[in-house]
Amino acid sequence: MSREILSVQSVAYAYTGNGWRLQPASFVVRPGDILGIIGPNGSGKSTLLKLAAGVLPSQKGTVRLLEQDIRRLKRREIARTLGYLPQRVESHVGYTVQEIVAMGRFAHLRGGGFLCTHDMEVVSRCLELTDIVPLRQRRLSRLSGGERQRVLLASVIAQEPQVLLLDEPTTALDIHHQMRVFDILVELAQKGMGVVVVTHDLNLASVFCEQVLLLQEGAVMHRGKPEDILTKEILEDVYGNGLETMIHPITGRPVVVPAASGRSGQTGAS
Amino acid sequence: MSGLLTRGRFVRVITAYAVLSVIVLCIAPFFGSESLDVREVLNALSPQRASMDAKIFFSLRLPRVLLGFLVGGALAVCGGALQVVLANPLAEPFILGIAGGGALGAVIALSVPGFLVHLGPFSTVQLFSLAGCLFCLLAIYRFSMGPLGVSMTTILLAGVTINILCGAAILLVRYLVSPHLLVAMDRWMMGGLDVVGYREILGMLPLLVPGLGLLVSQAHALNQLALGQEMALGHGVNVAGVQKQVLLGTGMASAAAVALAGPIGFVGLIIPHAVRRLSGVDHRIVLPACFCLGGAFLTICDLVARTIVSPTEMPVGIITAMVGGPVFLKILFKGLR
Repeated sequence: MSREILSVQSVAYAYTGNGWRLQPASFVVRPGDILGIIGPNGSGKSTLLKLAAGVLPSQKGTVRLLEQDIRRLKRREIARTLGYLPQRVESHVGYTVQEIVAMGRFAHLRGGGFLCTHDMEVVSRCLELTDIVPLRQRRLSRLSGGERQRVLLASVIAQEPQVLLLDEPTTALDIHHQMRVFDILVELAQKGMGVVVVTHDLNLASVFCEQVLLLQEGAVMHRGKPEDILTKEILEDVYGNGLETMIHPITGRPVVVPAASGRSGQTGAS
Repeated sequence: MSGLLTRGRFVRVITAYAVLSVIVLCIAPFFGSESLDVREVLNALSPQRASMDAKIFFSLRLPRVLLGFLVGGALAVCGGALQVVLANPLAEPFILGIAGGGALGAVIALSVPGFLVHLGPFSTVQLFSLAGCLFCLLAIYRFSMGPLGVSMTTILLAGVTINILCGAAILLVRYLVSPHLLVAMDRWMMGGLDVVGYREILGMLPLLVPGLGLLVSQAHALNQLALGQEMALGHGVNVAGVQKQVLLGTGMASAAAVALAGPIGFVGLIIPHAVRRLSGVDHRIVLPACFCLGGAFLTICDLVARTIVSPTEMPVGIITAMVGGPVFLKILFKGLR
């Protein structure tokens, strides 16, 4: 069994004010893993990802990055190993696409932060990988939602991390670009990168993830292979009634579809 | 790959701004209610040939121009950094309540007849103003410290509230004092650069230089912060550390500027936007360029202020708004087309 890049053990978090809390949750990421974190809105997916990335300090449990406690590492050290893409990125400053991708090199730079030849090559490679070369002189604010997502993904990949944590990277993307993003993630995983992706799209998780973590109301309810987790019984237990699952005739993976009579039987999960 | 900031482009752009600054600094002292002869001034470099023109140049005009340049530069750099840290394009140095504290300190000092004395390089008005600025800075910093670091929303709200509280306290002082003291208070509130000699300028440097140094040292990280706190953390920025250093640097630099020149508005707001339109949004260029352009802008505004209604002077704050507003609008619309 290969070494662990990221080990999240029994992390928990309680928000002050609203009383919502994430129950202790654990997972491990090894080179080549693609782990999907799924669950209804408000189930704690993003909180778990933030704890794993060290963006939120865990109140219980530990996060170890390459066997080192993440709390003892500086942010630059973390960023050289772990890439984190948050759910929402807004800016009132009009950076160009290539400037944003180049920002991914921050943790590798010293002094004035000027890019060397290697940094330039990495930036060019990331622009090509995410199909955004033609956009490189455009400003982020002038891009469509799908183009923005690919730019931000390229910026995180430019960190050259060993593990990627992505919070809903395919939001606002059409089906073609959703598949393209996951194709890129598979490509990176095949080169040895570990990937953790929060997604609402159960079918993409089914096709591309080897393992899924299913959360409900701040607790990990199920974990395992998509074919074991994406069953009618489990999904209706978490999301409510009105879902059907079937096996895709080509991929052999589960496919989740809304049932025709779903509205009448829905229990109103968050 | 074109478009990214290289060392060569950085040097070229900053050199251009520096040349502009030097030209303004060299020309501005020669103009005023009394035009000076360049040869007479240059002759004064030999001590035996000092003339009246040289005395006006070196004792009155040059310190004033230098003060204007330093104050304008400091306010613009502070504005440029705060707009990123507070994620608010309308942020400027006085949003932190520092100007309110400085104004209250100055008004209290002016409210006591006969209290206007000099202690070292500063007058009591400047010292009280400085104390007011630093008190407000510490209060805001303390209010905004949360369990996860500095809360930017709290800082904005606390700054606005402290400005309102200081405004109310100023009104109370004005209501209680003798009416003939109100003129001096109003004059201070309008901002001005009328200094004599270099003592005040040297006195502000211990606060101004480290403050600006802190801000410029964070320029590269500020680029990341402009994409939001979470993205910056993901890219490897110690966000809480950058926020603290920017707040401290802004507080020190703007307190030094306000204590000497009063609350001169508009510079800290418009110059950073103008620089971003003119030479890009990379803050490694934006902050030093803000210092040069902000300094040159306030120097020119002061030149206008002391010549337009010669032999009297107009408060420079009026000129910064009247000159800066249309210029900024032109740059804005040019960028949008």
